[in-house]
Amino acid sequence: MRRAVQRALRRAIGFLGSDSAERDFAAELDSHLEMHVADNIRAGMTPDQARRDAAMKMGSVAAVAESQREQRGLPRLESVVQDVRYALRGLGRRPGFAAACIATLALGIGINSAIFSVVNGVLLAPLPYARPDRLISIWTRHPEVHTDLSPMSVANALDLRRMVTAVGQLEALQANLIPATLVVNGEAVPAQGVLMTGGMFSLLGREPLLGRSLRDGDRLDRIVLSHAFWRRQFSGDTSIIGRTVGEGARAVTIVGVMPKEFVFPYPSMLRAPVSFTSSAEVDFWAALPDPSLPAAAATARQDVDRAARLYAIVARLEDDRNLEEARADVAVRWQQLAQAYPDVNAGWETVVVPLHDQAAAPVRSTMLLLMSGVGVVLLIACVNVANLLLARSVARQRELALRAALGAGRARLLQQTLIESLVLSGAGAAAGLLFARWATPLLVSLAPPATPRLSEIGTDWSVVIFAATISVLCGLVVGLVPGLGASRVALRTTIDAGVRTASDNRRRLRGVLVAVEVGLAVVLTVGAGLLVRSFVNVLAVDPGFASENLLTLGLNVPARHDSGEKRIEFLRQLFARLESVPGVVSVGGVTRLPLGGANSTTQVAVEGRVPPEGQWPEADFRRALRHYFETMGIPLSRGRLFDQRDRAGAPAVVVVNETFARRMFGDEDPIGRQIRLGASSPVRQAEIIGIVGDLRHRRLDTPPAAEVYVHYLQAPPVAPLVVVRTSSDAARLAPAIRAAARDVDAAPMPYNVRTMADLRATSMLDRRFLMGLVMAFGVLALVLAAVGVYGVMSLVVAERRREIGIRLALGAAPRGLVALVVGQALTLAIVGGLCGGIVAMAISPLIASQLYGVSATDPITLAGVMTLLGVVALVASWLPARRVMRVDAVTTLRSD
Amino acid sequence: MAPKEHTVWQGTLSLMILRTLVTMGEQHGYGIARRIEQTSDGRLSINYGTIYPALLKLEQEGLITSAWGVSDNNRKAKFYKLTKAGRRQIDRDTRQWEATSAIMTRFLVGNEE
Repeated sequence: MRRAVQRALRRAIGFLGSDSAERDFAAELDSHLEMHVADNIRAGMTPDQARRDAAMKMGSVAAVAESQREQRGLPRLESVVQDVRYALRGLGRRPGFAAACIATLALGIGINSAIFSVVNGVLLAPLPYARPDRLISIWTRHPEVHTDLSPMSVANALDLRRMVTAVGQLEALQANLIPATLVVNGEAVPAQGVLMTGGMFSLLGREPLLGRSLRDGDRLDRIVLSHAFWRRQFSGDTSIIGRTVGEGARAVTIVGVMPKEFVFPYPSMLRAPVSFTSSAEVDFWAALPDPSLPAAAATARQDVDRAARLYAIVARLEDDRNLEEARADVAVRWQQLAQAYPDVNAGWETVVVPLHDQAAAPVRSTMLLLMSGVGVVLLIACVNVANLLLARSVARQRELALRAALGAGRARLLQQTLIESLVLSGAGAAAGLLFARWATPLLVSLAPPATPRLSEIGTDWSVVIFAATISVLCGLVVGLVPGLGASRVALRTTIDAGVRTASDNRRRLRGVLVAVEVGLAVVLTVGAGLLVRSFVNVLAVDPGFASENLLTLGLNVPARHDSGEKRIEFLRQLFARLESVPGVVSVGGVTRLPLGGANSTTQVAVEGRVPPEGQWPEADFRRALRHYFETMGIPLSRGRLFDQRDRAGAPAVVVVNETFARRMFGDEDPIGRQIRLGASSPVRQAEIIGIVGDLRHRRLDTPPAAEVYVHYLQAPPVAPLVVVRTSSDAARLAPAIRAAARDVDAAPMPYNVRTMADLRATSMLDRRFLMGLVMAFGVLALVLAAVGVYGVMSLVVAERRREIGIRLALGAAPRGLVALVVGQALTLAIVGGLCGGIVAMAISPLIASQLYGVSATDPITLAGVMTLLGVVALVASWLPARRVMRVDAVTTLRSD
Repeated sequence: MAPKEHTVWQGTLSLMILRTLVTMGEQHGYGIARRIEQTSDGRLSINYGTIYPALLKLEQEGLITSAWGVSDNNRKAKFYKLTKAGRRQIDRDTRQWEATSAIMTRFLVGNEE
C-alpha cells in the first residue's frame, strides 16, 4: 500500500519534469548501446555486426521508450488529450449523431438537475438558521389516545427546559397561529401571529432587519413584524419602529421587522402537520411572558393547566451531545414529569426529531418519488445513447480492428471509447444545466405555493456538482456498454471480411438494451398511471358538504367588542346584512374551515366514564355560527341542530359528527348524553343534541376525524370564517358580499375571500403537481423508449438487408419478413415489459403513500400500461420493418 | 523463439534484478541485463530493453536508487544500487518465491502421500 502511494507520488512528480527525464533516459539507452557495441567488437564482431546485434538485443527502442514514458508520468494524460481531440473531430464529422446523443443526455441530465434543485432547496439544504444541524424539536405522543405528534403544555415545556441537560437553549412556540387584528392608520387589519418564548430568535440566531427582535422579559404587546406584512401594510416605512398601533388594552408596539427571507415556523413545525397545502403565513411574532412571573396573568391558566397541549418545542443540542443522548435525556426527564403529574402526563412519551426533518417531513415522499422518476428517465436516455454508440461502433469495427492490429491495447481502445462518451455526456451536462436554469423556475411556479422552503430553491453550486457527477456516471455507463463489446474485436476476421453486420454478441447486447428500456418505461408509466387513478379517485371523493356556490371569507370581530354579548351582537348584525344581499341563499360560519389548512382539537370524555386527564382522546373542535350546517350542506343524521334556544345561560349543548358518535359511544345512543371537553375549549361540559354527517376536513384523501361543534351563542369567537351559500356562481357575488360585510359597524377588512371550489382545488395542488410531473416523465419515457425501439429495429433491417434480399429471391413473402422483424421487437418488448412490471411491483411501497383508492400493485393499471407499451413497440418496430417491402432482391445481392 | 530458451515470467524480472544488484553491488542497466543472461547459462533470453521499465518501477517504489557514474571502460553510465527497503524486499520476495515454487513442484511431481 505504502509502496503504491510512493510510486504514485513519484509518477506525479515525474509528470511535471518529463522533459529532462526524457533526455536522461535517451542518454541511458545510448550508453547501454555503446557498451554493448564495444563488448561485441571485443568479442570479435565487425563494427556493423556489433551495432546490429546490440540493437537487436535491445528490442524496439520506441516501445521501450513509450513504456518508460507511460510509467514515468501520470496515467496517459497525453493520450487522453489526444483522444478528446479525436472524439471531437469524430463527432464534428457526424453532427446529426452527436446532436442526437447530446440532446438526449441534455434532456435527461437537465430534468434531473432541475428536480434536484427543488429537492435540494426544500429537502436537503440546511435550514436558514444558525448551526441548524444542532436544532431539534420535541413533541409528545400517546400510543393509544394520540398517535400523531402532539405539542405539550407550556408548564411541561418550562420544566423540561430546567431539567434537560443535553440541550443548551430550549424555547417554545404556540403550535397554532393566532388570529389578531392590528389597527394600521385607523384601519383594522387582520393578521396572524406566533406566540413564543422570548429567546426563540436568539436560539435561531437570526437578527432583525430593523429595530430589535424579541427577548426574554418582553411583554405580550411588543411585536416583531414579518417583512411581507411590513411591506404590505406599512409600505416599508422604516420609521414604524417603536410606534404603537391600536388603542387601549389592544394596543401593541412594533419593535422590529425581520428580514425578507426569514421564515419561522415552517407550517410543518406547527400542530397537526397534515400536508404542505396548508398555508400558514406569519405576519408577526410576539413573546409569551414568562409564566413564572406574577405579571403574566394572561397565561396563568395555561401554566396551571398541564393538559393544555399547545406548545411546540425547539431546542439546541449542547455541542458535546448527540441526538441519541438528547433523546435519552429528554425521555428520562419526561418520566420524572410523568411521575410528578400522573393525571396529565402518564402514558405519554416524548419524541425528539431534528428540526430539519420536522420541516421537510411533508414533502419528503413526494421529493423522493420525483427524484426516482427522473432517475428512471435518465437511465432510459442513457440506454438510448448507449444504443446509438453501439450502432456506431459496429460501423467503426474495421477502424478499431485496424488500430488493434497496429498495436493499440484493449485498455487503450476502451479508453478512447470512454472518452468519446464522456465528451458527449459532458456536452449533455452543459446543455442540461442551461435547461435546468430554465426549468427550475418553471417547476417552482408550478409547485403548490405552500410547499415549505419554496423560496429557497435556486441553481447553486451543489446543482452544478450534481449535474457533473451524473454526467460522468452517464458517460461511463454509456461508454462501457458498447466499449466492452468493441474492445473485444476479432482482428483478422473483421479486417478480412469487411463485415458491416454486428456480431452475435453485440446483437444480444442490443436486444438487452431494448428490453431494459421498455422495462424502465413500464416502471415509470405504471407509477404515472397509479397517480392518475388516485387523482381521479380523489376528485370523486364526497367531501361531506356541497362545495359548489359557496363563498368563504375570514372576518375578525373588531377588538372593541370585548365581551361575549358585544361579539354576538356584532355577528347578528353581520349575518343579517349578508343575508340581505341579493343572490345569497343562506349564511353561516365556523372557526375552522374544511380544506382550509388549519385545525384545532380538544380533549373529550364521556360523562360517567372519565379517564385520567392525560388519557382523554382528542377530537376536532369547532364553533358553529348561524346556519353553518345548512349553508355547507352537511346533513343532520340524528337529533337536532343548534338554534336560538342554545344561547348563553341555557344548558350547554354540542353537535358531534358520526365518527365522534361511533368512536365515543359505539352502539349506544349519544343523543342526550353529557360529555366533558378539555382545557382548550370554552365549554367544559355539554349535552349532545345532534349528530351530523362526517366531512373531510384536513384533506380530501384523509379519512374524517371525530368532530365536536359548540354553538357561537354559547361560545362567541373572535375570528370566525364566514360561509355564504349563493344561488349562482359564488365568485361573481364576492364583491357584493365583501362590500356588505364592510357596511356593518366599521367591520375590519374581510380576508381570504375564496370560493369553496377554489379551496377544494387548492387542497389537491400537491397531488396535481406530483401527478403532472410523473405523467410528464412517463410520456418522456415512452417517447424515448419508442425512439430506442425504432432506432434498433431500423438498424436490424439495414443490417439484414442482404439476408432479406436472399430470402426474397428464394421466394419468401415480404409480409412474412415484416412480421419477422416486428415479432423480434415485440418479443424483446414483452420480456422487458414483464421485467419492468415485476420491478414496478417490487418498488411499489415507494409510491404507496401517495396513492388513494388504488393499490400500488393494481392489476388494471399494470395491464393497461403493458398494453400501451405493446402498442408503442408495435408501431415503433413496424415503421422500420415496412422498409423490408422496399428491398429489391437483385440490387441488394449485387451491391456486396 | 528457440525451444531451449525460456521466457521471463511477469514479476520475476524484478526479483532477478534485485538479486543481481546484491551479488554485483552497483551496476548499470546493460551490466544487469548481461549478468541475468549469463546467470541463466544463456537459457533465458530477454530483450535488454525490457529491463528499463522494470528498473524505473523499482526506483519509483524506492527499492533502488540511481546515479550517473563512470563504467569500467570509462564510459558514462547510469548506475543502480539497492536501498535498505530493496534488501528487505528481496527477503520477502525470495520467501514468497520459494513457497510458490514448492507448491508448484508438488503439483507437477504429484502428491506423494
